[in-house]
Amino acid sequence: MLTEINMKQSKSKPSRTKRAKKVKDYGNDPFFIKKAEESRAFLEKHGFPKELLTKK
Amino acid sequence: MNLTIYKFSASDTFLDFEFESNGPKGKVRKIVRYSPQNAGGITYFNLGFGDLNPKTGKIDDLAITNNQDREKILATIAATVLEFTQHFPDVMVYATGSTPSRTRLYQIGISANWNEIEPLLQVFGYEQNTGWQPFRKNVNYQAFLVKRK
Repeated sequence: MLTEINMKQSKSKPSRTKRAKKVKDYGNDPFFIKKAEESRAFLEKHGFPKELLTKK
Repeated sequence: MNLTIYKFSASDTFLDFEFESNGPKGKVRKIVRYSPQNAGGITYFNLGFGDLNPKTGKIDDLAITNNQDREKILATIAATVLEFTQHFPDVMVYATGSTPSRTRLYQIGISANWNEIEPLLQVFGYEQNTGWQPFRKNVNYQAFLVKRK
């Protein structure tokens, strides 16, 4: 269960992508849930590259 | 991206992207989902990609569309990564395929779009013997992690 997510959005550049109400939230789709859980198992086993963990 | 890509749309949250593959087998809706996840106390986003089954409304992970537009689809997925990380510049994105051959497709896609990706993203690949390392062409990786420079 996620307790905190850093979802700070960049405001420096306007998006070129069209936001569309027809694009629904697929967060509850079983395939994406399964993929995310598999990724967590992989990263808990193998860790992250330290270069990506350093703050900018 | 300078390469040909499909026009794509994003959900209000910018976690879900959708585009339509168009080829000999007809039109197929493709979904890219960035799922927030946490491993060992570190937050990242998992890139999921699949075909939308119009009958069930669910994602069909092992569908083989064979619409002869593989490069265009890979370039479009890469474009959504750039778009997503533009909105969330501090996050990591993890990606791997549903099968080893599909993971290799991601590798091919990264290599093919390297000129557009490299200036903007740090890309790491996980290789069995050496672990995480900066992405190099012609190396078979099990998974990928990217982050904005």
